[in-house]
Amino acid sequence: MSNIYRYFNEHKFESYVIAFLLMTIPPLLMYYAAQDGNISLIFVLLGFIVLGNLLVLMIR
Amino acid sequence: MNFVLALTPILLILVLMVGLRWGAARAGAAGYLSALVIAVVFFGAGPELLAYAHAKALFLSLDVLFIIWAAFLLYRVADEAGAIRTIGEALPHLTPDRGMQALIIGWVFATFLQGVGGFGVPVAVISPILVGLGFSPLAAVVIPSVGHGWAVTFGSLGSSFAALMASTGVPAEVLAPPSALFLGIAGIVTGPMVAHAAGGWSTVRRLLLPALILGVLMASVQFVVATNGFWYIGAFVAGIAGLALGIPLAMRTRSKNRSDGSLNLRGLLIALSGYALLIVITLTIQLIPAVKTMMSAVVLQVDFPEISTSLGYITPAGPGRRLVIFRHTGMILLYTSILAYIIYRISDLYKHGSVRSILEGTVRRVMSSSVSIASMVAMAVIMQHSGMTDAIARGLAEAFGAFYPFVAPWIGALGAFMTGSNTNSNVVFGELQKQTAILLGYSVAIILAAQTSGAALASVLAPTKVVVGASTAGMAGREGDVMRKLVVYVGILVLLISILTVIGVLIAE
Repeated sequence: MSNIYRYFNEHKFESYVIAFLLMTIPPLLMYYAAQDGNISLIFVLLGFIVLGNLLVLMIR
Repeated sequence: MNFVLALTPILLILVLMVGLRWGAARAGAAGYLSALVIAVVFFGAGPELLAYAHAKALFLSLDVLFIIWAAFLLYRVADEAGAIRTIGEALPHLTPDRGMQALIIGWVFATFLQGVGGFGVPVAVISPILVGLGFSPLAAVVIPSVGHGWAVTFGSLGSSFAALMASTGVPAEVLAPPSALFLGIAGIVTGPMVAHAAGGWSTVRRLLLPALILGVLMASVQFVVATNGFWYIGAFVAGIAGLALGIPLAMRTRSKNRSDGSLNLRGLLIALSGYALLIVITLTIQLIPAVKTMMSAVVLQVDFPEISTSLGYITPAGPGRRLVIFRHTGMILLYTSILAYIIYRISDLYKHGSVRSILEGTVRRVMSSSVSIASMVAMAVIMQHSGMTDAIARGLAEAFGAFYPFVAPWIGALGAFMTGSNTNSNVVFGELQKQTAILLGYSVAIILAAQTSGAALASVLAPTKVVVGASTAGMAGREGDVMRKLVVYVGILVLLISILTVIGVLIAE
């Protein structure tokens, strides 16, 4: 765990890019998932967004 | 209980940024996650609501991020050409007085830029210039932040004021006079505040007269323009008037000792051409009907259905954020960047590899800011759609009852702080403020003027805007320091609006 933490902090720019993509790509897909009533897909995509925010919390 | 729960994400961000000195990206992520949990567990936000809220937030974020990326690109284009340094070396020839530099650039020019620009543009463009002039990064962010707040409602070619009219159905003839009056008085007070931010009370004492002269002029011009049907160019014309008087005023404080060398006029004009282009392109696109129509051809907008929580809070169906691609403020900044690059290239101001340096420098600098904006906007939209924002506003209104006029500007301020803009605060709280005013028997015009004035002045304190300013001044990660400085100035200005609102409703009765 500490190795992952250290990796993200040593590669801050790349980590921010990954977090940004995790936060911005899913929402448009969520829109279409909601239009189709695909609740499972909504939760999966929401999980990616949450993951992106958790990643940011690890970057000091 | 609902009120406390709804307020938690905002309090969390404040504590983390101001108390624990977390950067905006981390604090924004924490705020988002807490808002998500509270919205789902306590406010009945279901998966469909979350899906549509995130999609809406994406469009709002892109609207903001486009401006940030392009504004910083313009800065990198100018900086790589040495233009920022040239402007910095030339300005002492206009005036060596640091306080006067702050007034003219950080207040008058910022007013003009807010008039023609949009979200965060004055701070994003002016902060690097002030850093180049030798101001500390903190002062370089605080000065234009304080300096442009009073111009937000009638700036951006009137978008915030238009949003207030659209969301409440109250016409300009009714709204403009009290709004322009409140903001004009705030504008007059802003000048001495900018002087204080630049050099403390000694600077205020020394420059009080020119600051008041400029303030009264700009406030009067904005009032006359806004109350005569031209509310969409109120701040723009006020800024022009301020520059027309301010530059000669500044030159009166110029040192007669020319030992600092002669002015490189050609170099200065070339350096300024980038920013002059911004003005020319903005006016061409926004004010010439044929060009405006042609640039409005491509529009990105998505419709959203009615959204409700399991507890019955409903967000009506309607269109999401409308992005007019080729006329967007970010696109205007992009056009300016490209043309400025061409001018500087022709003037042989770039070294080999400048394009790569510009682009790489831009992307690396804005990435953490982009992350914080994405998470904070998502947080704000989730709070809005789950009823958390409404719970906060109603809690404040119920708590204060007869003191509501005093509280009204603070509700607008809260909305701007959370959503990042005067426009969004007016959309979110405009109708609520209007209905509360009617219920309590207060003047709707006065209360709505308080809403937009409080929102305009406090919008400079919004985390998303602070992130913009801090990133362009090289203070990324120290947004808490900026907020700590700004909160005092903004607090005084919003308190002023509170007092004016109380006086206004008493007179209206």
